[in-house]
Amino acid sequence: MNRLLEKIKMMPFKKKNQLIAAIALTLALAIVLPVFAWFTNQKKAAEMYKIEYPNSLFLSAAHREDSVNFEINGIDADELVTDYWGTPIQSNGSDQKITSKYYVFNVTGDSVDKFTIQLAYTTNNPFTYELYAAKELDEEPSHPSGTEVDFIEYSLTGETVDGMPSVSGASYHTSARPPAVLYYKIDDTVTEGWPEGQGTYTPGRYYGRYLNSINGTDANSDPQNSYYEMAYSNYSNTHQDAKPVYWQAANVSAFPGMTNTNKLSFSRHFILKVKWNAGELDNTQKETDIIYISVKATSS
Amino acid sequence: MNEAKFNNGLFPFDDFHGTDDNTSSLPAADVAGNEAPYSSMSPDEFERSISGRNDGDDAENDNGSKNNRRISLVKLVAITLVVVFAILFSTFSWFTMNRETENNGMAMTATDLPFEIATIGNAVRNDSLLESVRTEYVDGTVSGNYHITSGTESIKLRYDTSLSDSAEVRPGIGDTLRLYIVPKTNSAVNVRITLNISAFVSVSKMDQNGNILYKTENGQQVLDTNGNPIVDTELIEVTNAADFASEVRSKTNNNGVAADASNYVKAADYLRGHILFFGGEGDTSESTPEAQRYYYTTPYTSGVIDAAIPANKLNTPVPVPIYWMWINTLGQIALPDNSSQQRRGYPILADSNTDDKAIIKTYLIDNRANIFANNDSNTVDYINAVTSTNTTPETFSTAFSALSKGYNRADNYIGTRIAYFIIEVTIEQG
Repeated sequence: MNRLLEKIKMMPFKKKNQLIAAIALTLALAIVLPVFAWFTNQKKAAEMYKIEYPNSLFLSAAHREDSVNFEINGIDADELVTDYWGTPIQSNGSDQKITSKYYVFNVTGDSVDKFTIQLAYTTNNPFTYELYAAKELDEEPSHPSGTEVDFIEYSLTGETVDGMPSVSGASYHTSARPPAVLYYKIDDTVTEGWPEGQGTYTPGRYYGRYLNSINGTDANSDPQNSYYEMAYSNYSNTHQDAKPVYWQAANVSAFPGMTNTNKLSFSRHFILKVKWNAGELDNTQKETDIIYISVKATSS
Repeated sequence: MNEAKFNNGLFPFDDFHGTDDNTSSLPAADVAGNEAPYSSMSPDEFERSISGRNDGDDAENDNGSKNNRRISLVKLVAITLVVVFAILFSTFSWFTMNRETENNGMAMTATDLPFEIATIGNAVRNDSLLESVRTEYVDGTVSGNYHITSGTESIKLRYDTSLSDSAEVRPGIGDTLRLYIVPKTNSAVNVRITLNISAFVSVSKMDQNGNILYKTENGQQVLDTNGNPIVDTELIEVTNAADFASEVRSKTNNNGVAADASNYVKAADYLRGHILFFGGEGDTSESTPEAQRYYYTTPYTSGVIDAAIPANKLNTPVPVPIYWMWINTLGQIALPDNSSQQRRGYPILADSNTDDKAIIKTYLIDNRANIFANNDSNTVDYINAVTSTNTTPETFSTAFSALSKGYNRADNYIGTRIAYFIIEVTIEQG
């Protein structure tokens, strides 16, 4: 090493010059070469994907309270049709027994534009089920004597559900707190549940369709009973009334008449009407029926 | 998915289950290291240090010629320095440009790689958006059914609209990257493929008062087909929290998103943790009994794949398909079998494939912070419990429920924050 340094020291100035230039250029090349090599030694490819925004739906009792507060039990076939004060309303001089009951539930959602409500039920009792859009009121609607009550009262319990998106707006009484009572009526401005085409339809009602049906209007008329296997698999010894009926209202809007372009959270109320024909329901013959309500977002 | 039923109480939508940037470390350090001796020394100092050592030699010469030589030496050194600086700055400026450089200005050509890459399909997913955030990717040259790179080109991977779904991605969705290697030689070629995922957020623009801005055209609000105004958004890449926040502030004025930057970074990490890459397809065909179906083989948990292209394939596109999936539920990927009855859907890997399942277990442990939103000191024990066949039902139940919860929460985290992601594939000679 020392000899090398000595040699450099002894080198004529001109040669030293050349040496410096040579070292400098070598260094420069040393820098450039790996850069070049890196640049030329790879290729790239790419694909871009869009992520679907996670929509969420919550089924709950009225005013978005816990579903334990949604109760359909206690249908009394001998209950009489009365006005608000319990005075029976007579028809042709005699008392009438009720032929329907109304129950309120709520669908709350986030980032959903349209959704499907499905009812799946057994048919032990002579019930049919109808679905209506409902509106929430914080003032008691009028109830003249001698007329049947056309609204449902719901006493708030304060039992809320975790994780629900917050909602606001005139149709939802955010500030209502127990022991307040809220009132629900069929929202007859909603017509989105009507079938296409001409006809006379009930305001607010969702007509929907039966899945296991030939024409969509008669429950369980499908001879193949396509959905039987999902409930009972290979088991064949099933009573006719235990075969579930599937009914769906598709394309129910988060905001009726509008598209939820900006993915706003929403709260909607619905009324489930359980009805039967006069004289067909007998308290001594009543059986248990099961009804499942489910909601599913329509993918957009 | 997304269903709630009364009979089981309430189920809010809980099913939305769903590495660092490839910082180029290579020459940056070298350049900086080499640069120091030059840049920290002025030409004067350089000259002095040399002339100091040459005093003895110069003593015989007269002052004039000594000065001349000194001047010419200074000139030479100055020129050399200029050359070195020119090289340095051109490389520096190159480094500070986008990670994937554009090939203008320096006019380099790639002749070294013994292969081109290609793709196939009639469309590019989210084409214009991809172009807007990654300018270097091009369609490539069409040759038969293939789109092939030439020289230094980077290529957009394609898909077939008739075969593959272009719909949005969510947990449970997977796809194939249609990548081909086209050897330029008849010799065998080894390639190393590196996979990277970059996440993008669609941020709503806001005015000074924090009100959402809607798209306008000629001063009029643009309306969708239903007559609703459309929120004006900007697509911003999630890098690190500080850069993301400042980018969001400057481009959208959306302080809410900027303040939440660390959660967006977390969401991007969860996305990388929940998307897995595979080398082979499994068996989900109708003819296979359901209990035996599975999705994939050969997990690439490191994000690096070494592939060998056989000899005698000159100019023949050789497929190197890479499968990816956003794993829907933890049970599909973690459970050794379905004896617990907790697995929904088919397993990702066949239950008999215990070797690959062990790889997944290691992956879950190593990346737990990017997979489970509730990662804590118990997580490793929980992973060990659910991946083992010898766990008591009670221990299993606690562990599985905690991990599933954390997994699903991470999915929701991703879905509510990340709008797009890009899978970038880098292919080098192996």
